[in-house]
Amino acid sequence: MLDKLLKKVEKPVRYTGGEINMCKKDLTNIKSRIAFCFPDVYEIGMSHLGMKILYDLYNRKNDTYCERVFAPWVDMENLMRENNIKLFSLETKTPLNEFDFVAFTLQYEMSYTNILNMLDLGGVPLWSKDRGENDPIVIAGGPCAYNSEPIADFFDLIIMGEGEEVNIEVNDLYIKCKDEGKSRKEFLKLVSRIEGIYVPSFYDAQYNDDGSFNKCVPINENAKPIISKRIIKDLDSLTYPEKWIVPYLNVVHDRVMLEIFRGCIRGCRFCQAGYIYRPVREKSKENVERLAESLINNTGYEEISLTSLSTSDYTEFYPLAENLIDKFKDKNVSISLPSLRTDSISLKLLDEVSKVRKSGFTIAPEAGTQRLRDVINKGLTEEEILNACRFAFESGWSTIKLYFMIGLPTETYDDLQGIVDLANKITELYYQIPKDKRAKGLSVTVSASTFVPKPFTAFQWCGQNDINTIKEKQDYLKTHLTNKAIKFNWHEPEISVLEAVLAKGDRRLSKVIYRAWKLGCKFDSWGEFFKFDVWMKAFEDCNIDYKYYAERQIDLEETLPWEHVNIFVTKDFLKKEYQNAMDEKVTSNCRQKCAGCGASINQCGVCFEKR
Amino acid sequence: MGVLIRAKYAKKEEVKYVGHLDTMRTFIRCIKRTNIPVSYSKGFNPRIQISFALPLGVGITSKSEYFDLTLEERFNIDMFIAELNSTLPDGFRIVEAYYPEETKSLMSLVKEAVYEITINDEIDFEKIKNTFEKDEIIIEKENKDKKIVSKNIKENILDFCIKDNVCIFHVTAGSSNNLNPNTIIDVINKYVHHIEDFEINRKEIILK
Repeated sequence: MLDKLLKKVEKPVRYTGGEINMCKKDLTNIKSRIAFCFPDVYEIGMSHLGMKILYDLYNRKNDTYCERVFAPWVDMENLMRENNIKLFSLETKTPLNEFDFVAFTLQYEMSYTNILNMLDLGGVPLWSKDRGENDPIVIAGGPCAYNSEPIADFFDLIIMGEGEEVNIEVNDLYIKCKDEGKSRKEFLKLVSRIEGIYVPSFYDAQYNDDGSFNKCVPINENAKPIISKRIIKDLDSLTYPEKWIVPYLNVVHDRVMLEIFRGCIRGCRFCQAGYIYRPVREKSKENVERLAESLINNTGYEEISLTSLSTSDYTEFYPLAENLIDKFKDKNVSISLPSLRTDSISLKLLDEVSKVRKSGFTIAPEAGTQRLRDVINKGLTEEEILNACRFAFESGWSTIKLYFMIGLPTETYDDLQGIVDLANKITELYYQIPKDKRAKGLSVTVSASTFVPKPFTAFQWCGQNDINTIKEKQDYLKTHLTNKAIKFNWHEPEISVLEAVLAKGDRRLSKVIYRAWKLGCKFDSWGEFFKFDVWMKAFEDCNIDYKYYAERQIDLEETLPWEHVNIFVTKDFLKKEYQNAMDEKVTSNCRQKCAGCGASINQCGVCFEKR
Repeated sequence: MGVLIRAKYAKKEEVKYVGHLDTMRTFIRCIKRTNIPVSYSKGFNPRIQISFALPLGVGITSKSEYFDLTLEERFNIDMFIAELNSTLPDGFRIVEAYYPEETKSLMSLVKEAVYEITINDEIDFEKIKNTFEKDEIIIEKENKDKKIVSKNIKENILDFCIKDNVCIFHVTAGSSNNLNPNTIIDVINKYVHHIEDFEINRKEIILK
């Protein structure tokens, strides 16, 4: 039956599994079956490192089998619905509703409708309250879990923080409960005692008469008032997937991704990742080198990418990169170094690894003026930006990509003009270099995304610009970026507005998400599927004003809907950072001077490095 | 210069939806996972030197696919097969390998192919026989300029036979006068009956 469908769909290998290093197990000894669901298509999901890590960890256990599930593309979904085929796992083609756990990774807010669609296609009741003893336990984790309130009612339990230890603890407890014949409710009670576990049904979200959020309180004696995220203190103590699946299809990140550290010392005030992954913890250089070799041998990949939030902040970055380049030179494996700073050592390395100048040279000033870069604590001066660009032109690049955000707190038209001026200065730099010493065909791309305030950042209180304001700002850039060598890229702001709503939302939004899905929303992160008008209808039907969530400037003293979650960065610190932003004051990075964010309570990582 | 080894492999049910480019990439990565002494091309962007015979359409299985690979030096053939089979995903299997004498490109050696089409729909197989026994078998096809042209494929069909619900077609193949097995399906759809439940298997590629 499935075969008949596969003959009719685009890219059938999305649904067949069987790739190099896929895990196969005999089901007779399996006590817990986990469907690891990525709420997007195969090519996106298979590029995700977290899935590879957890897939490997679960499958190292003899009593557990973790399989993969992705959102079927629309052509496949239609055929599945017509033929009553439930969403299934790639490994054994088992329907979703036959698993013990259905686990979603929450990577971006715009995937929420896909989660509902996948549960529905898999025959799993959407709302946690409607699930019974025979239904899977539906769980979630990942960066959006920290404020998962808008989707909390769809999940039985949510995991806060890094998953390596806690996923196994939850699974072990589940197997024990299953062996002892305990009920679903009894399992949830026991599991809610585990550090980092949030069982949404054990909490009640309360609101004030004016509709503002009041508090989220435990209503079950097992539930903790505050759920603290889990972190791995010593990254070298972890096993890393060494035999990971090599897809047949060309996926988005089709290479070995080797994590070298977690967290970021920089503290950009808009960046959620920079706060939620604190403190910075590194893998040892020896460990990274050993893993690199093993991964290349096991996958046959031709490229290895060192991943982190800011690769050149790795303490032994230069020796590590040099060793890897040396090690793989003769094996024809290339090294890619994303997220570099603009310092001279990084640039020199970049020059070494980028033998082919096919890709552009990308730099992210984020804001057009020094004033605004100080507000967001970007810690990048105009001189540094220009130096990096000069270096790029002199080294043979002629394509430069610049990333900015518009709608940042305190932004004025002077800051937008700053973007224009900076882009113009960069083109001038190019023409200053003698013709015979530069590559032909200058192209400067200015990309401006819309600022989205995120929870657990210094800007969590900030309102977002309304749609018209953003469009006017985009128009300003469109009309002022007139240089022919400059190309301006922008996105429709509606998607960013919805992202802000879902990022900062509370539990009342679950009915809006449900309604939007019912009305046909899915693949919202795909421009061709995003239907803002349908979302607006969903808000209207539920009598909820989206502007309340996106545009409102929240009072610093208000209780926030996500305050029952502790990421170890204190609210007081975020307030201080907010104030520093308003005062245009820069905060030093973690290695220069501890700013006292609170993460040092974990007694590990950068907080305890010798300086 | 290196030495050329030719391998024959099967592509079974499990991997029949893996497209031609993805298949090539899979072989390249699996070869890299072994100790086989492959030779890399010289120059800026060194690559494994491998070439495949006659691409196989998506959804079609095969018992007879070929590739030529350049090695740095002769390598034991049994070890070559064993090493590669231990790293290939289920569904891909090397069945034979040898050091060819001729130096012509693999693709230029492909002259004929044999396809086995198994039809599970209830249809009149006698009618298939009659259709392919005719002197003219005209089918409309889209050419390179996206124009619909009529073509007689009679001369492409060297031989055929039908046993129960299995039709075996011996056809011309290669870069110049290739008959795509899906064209045979088009003919059946047009002159016999629209079929939905069928399997195509490439039984053989004949190198000459």
